[in-house]
Amino acid sequence: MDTTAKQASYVIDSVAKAVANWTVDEHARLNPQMPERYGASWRADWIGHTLAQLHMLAQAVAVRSPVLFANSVRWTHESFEARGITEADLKQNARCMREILEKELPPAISQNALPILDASLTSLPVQATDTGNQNAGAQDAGESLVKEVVLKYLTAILESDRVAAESIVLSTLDRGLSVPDIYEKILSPAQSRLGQMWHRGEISVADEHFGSATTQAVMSQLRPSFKRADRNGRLVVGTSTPGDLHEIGLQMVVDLFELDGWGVVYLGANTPIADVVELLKRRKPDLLALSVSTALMLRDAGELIETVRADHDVAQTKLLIGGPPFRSVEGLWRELGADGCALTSTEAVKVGNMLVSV
Amino acid sequence: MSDTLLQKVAAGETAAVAACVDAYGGLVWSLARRFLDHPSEAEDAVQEVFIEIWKNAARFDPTVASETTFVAMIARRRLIDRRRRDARRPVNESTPVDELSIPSPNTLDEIDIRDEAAHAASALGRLKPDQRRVLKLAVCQGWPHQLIADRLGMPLGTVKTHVRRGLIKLREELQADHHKPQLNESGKEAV
Repeated sequence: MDTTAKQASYVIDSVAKAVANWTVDEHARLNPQMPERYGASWRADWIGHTLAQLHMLAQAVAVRSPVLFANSVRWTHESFEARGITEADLKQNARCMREILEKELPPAISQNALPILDASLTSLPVQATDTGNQNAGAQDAGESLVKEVVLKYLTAILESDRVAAESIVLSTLDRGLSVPDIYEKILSPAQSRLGQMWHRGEISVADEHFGSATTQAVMSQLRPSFKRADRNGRLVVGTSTPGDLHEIGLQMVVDLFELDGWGVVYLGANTPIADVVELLKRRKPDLLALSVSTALMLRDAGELIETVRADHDVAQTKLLIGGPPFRSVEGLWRELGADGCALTSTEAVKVGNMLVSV
Repeated sequence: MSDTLLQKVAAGETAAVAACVDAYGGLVWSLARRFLDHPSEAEDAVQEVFIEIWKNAARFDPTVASETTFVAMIARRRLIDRRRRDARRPVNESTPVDELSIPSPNTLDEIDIRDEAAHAASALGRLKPDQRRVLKLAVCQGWPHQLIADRLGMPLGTVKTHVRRGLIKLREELQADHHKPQLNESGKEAV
């Protein structure tokens, strides 16, 4: 990551609350009817939205990607419109945010952010989104069985019927699906769809958590069915960034490495950078697989990679990165300093093998 | 002599803007916590203070005061403004920083006293005219109640009532936004 961009990103995060407060004040000044239109919690709601946009803007500044921010804005607008919030208000909020950033922050900081914000306010072409890609995976397979199972699995989850959900997925083993197929064509699209529904306010946090817990339970029950290749003598460490609480995607990746014959050290979610480096020194793996579940984790991912690269003992470790943010922004992984990137769990194993064989 | 952090901020160095938060975050946070009751308010205030510090970085003169003093000065002014603003509605205009003078390190106590005096004068100004006139003579001039009654042509009982009710009202006004901390230069509580 570029050092100046990273510093500007930190500064934006460090004053995001003040900027959000002033943005909403200005927005309300221009639209005095806001309380009437959006109810008693309008101010807190809009500050929350503005704050989220500012944190995303800070990440886009860190990796110097207008596309990342534009995609986030587009995604937010879709979900907010589903909740009755108008496009005009969202755009005006963005314009107020721009005005406050320009007026209040030192030019050394705002000049990093304003071009990115401006790009999102124009009709910037948007690349493929996360959900589009994942759904396309299921559709391209052309398997009616897969589509049917995903739908039934989601229905069981939304009915809070864990037994039925598990049974629906496990029965596909008897119908010839492999574990990688189940991960990639059923569980992964289902998780993606649940996240999308939560984001649009169609399901609650509880529903989403129930879905994740069920998926993890299904994955545990699939383990006895693993048909592992012979051990290849290679070792992969799988980890997330500090603060990242998502782990299903990473768990899928390390499971598939295990099926491929790799030794696996799975560190799970929210691992401190220093502890990752210490483990790399101790275990000396062939590959570090880093999961980035949301764009809000990109700067921390970059920090982790920089820390690894700066440590003489582990600097040569091959580094594979993956996660939803990399689906929508081409070349982002290079900006972060990784050796390779994978967009699916099966691709992760292919790219991992390629990286260590060089 | 190398430039100070604030001089680098004024010169447009991105790294200095970020370093400012690292260097003075503790000082500004400790001041904010002492001026404001709730951590969330303090957090908001700290962010506003840093924005103010960056905007005024060009005004910093190392020959007049230390950087710490300058930072503490801006922080305290903003925190006082915020406390007053939160205590009263409608919102008052904040004190323009351009109107502030930079203190030497040993004048912070004087600033405290001036703040107190200005605050008390402001509270006094919000009393009813008769209450205010009687209280000024009784408290500021030290006149006996009978003398005030004679000079203003008021019954003695009315003077006593104005003094009593005026003091109660004044105390309420001051308590609304007032629990004045005593700070040393580093922003730590003086023992």
